[in-house]
Amino acid sequence: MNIKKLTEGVKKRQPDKERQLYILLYENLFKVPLAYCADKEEARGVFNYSMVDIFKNIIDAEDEQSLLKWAYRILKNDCIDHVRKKATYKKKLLYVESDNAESYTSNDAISNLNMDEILQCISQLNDTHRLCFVMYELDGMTHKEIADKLNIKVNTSKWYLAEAKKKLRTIVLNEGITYYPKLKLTH
Amino acid sequence: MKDLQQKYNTYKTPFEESAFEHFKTIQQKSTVGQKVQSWHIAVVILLLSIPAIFFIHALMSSKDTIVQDVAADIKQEEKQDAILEISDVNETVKYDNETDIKEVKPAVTETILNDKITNKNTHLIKQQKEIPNITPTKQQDVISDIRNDIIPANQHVIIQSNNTPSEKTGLISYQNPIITIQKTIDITQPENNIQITQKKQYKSQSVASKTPLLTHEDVQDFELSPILNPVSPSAPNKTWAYYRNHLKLSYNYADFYGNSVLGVIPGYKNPSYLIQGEYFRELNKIVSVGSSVGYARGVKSGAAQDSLSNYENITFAHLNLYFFLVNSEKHQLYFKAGSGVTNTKRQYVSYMPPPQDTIIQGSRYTNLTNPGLLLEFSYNYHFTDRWFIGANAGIIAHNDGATYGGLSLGYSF
Repeated sequence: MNIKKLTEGVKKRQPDKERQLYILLYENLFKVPLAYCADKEEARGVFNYSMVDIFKNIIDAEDEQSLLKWAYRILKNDCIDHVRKKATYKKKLLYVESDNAESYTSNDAISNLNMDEILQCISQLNDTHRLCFVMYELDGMTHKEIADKLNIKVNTSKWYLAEAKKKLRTIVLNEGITYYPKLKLTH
Repeated sequence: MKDLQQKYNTYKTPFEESAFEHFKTIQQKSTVGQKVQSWHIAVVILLLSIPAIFFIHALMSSKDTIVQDVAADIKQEEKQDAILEISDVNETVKYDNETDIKEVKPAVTETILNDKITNKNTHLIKQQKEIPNITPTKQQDVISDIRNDIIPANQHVIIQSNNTPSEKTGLISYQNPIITIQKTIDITQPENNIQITQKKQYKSQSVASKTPLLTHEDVQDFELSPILNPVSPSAPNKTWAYYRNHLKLSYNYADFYGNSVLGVIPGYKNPSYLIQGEYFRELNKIVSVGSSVGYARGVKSGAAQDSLSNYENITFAHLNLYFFLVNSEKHQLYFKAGSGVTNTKRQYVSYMPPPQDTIIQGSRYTNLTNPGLLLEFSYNYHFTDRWFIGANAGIIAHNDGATYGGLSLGYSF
C-alpha cells in the first residue's frame, strides 16, 4: 500500500482513500480504545472522534509504521483524556498512600489468556483501575509517567495497578470471563 | 509483562463496516459544526459592520456639512454686505429721482447683488493683497481707495480702527475694523424736509480677518482656509436628541452548563448561541422597564460517546428591569434582571451507575416549560442619537443554564 498516495487522497477527501486508511487504522489501532474504554460502543465513539481529528490533520508519512505511530499517539492521548474526565466526574480517582502497593503485581492470572479475553476482562474493571492497568501493562508507561499524566501521586498509581490486578485475578479465577449485557439506545 | 505487551502490540482488530458508517456520520457533523462556526463569525462581522457603515456615513456627511456651512456663511455674509449697500443705493435713488422704490429696487438689487456675489471675493483679495505692502504713511490713501471703490458718492465713510502698525514689521493688523457709513440726503428735495442721517455699523467678520496679522501667504490662502478648517465658526450646534424607547437585537456566544441533565459527560462544554430581541423604555435616568424574547441553542459537541446529535433548545419571553449605572448622551451601562417563561427542548444523555458503569447514548426527547431568570450586564454606545451598538454578558437560568456574551445593535425612538 502506497502510504503517500493514501494520505494525499485523504487530504483531497477521496472516499475510497478515506475508507482504505480507516480500515488500516481500525485494524491496527482499535485495540487502544478497546483497552481503555468500558465497552465496545464507547471505544468506537472515542476511536471515531479521534479519527476525525486524524483525517483532518493527516501528515505526509513516509511509511506505514510512522503513520501508525503518529495516529497511535493521538489516539492514546484521546483515550486517556476521555477516561480521566469520566473518572474525575464520577469522583472515583482516590488518592491512596500505600507502602505495600507492589505486593499485587503478578500477571499470572491473565497471562494465559489471549488478547480478546484479556480485553474482555479489562473492560470489567472500573475506569480508574483500567486506566492505570492499560497504561502500565499494555502501553508500557512507568508509574511516574502515569502519575504525571493523571495528576496523581506515584504511590496512588501503584495502588490502582495492584487493585486492578487483584480484581482481574478474581474475575478470571472465580467468576470467569463474563459479559455485561450490551446497553441499547433508549428512545 | 513483556509477554502481555507483545500480545497487545501484535493484536489486530477485524474491520467492521458499521464502525466506518459511524465515522462518516461524525465526520459530516464535524463539517456542519465548522459551518455553524463560520455562521457565528459572519453574524458578528455583520453586527460590527452596520454601525461602522453608519459611522463612516456620518463622518462623510459631516464633512460635506462643514464645507456647505462655510460656503453658506461666506455667501450669506456677502449677501448681507451687498444688501446694506443696495439699500443705501435704493434710498438714494428714491430720494434723488422721486421714483417708486418698489419698481426700482428689485432690478437694482438683482443686478448689484449678483455682481457683488460674483466679484466680491476677488475684489477683497485684490484689496488685501495690497495690505502687506501698506506702510503707515500710505494708510490714508488706501482707505480712500477702498471708500471710492465701495461707497457711493453721496455717502461718507468713517473707518474706526484701533489697529496700530506693528513696531517690528510696520504692517497693519486688520483685525475687526469698524466701518461707519454716514449717508447724507439732499434737504432741498421737496419730499424730504429734514436731513436724514443714517448710520450703519457693522463688523467685518471675514474668515481672513481672523488672522491677526495678514501676510502675503495668508492672503493667498484666503479661499482655502475655511475649507481646510474643520470647524465652521458659525456652524450651528448639532443637538443630540434624547429618546426614551429602545429596540435592541443581540447575538451572543453561549456556553451551556455541561454537568447537569444534558451534559453527563464531564468536561464537555456545549458551545452554542443565544439570540435576543428586546424593547425597553426609560422611566428615568436610572430605571427602565422592558421585555425581551430570545432563542438559544446548545449544540453538544465533542462528546466521544455521541452517536446522535444531542442538543438543547431554549425559547424564552421575559419582563425586564434595567438599572443604569451610566446613562449619558452616548454611553449606557446597565444591569438587567429579567424573569418569565422558558421553554426547553432537549435530548438526554444518561449515565448508568456500576455495575454497568457506562453512558447510555440516547435521544430521549423532553419538552419542558419552566419559569426562567436572566441576569445581564450591558454596555451601549450611541454612535448616532438613534443608533447604538452594545456588548452584553449574562447568565440565563431555567432548570438548566447557560452563560453568554456577545454584541448587539439597537435603535432608539
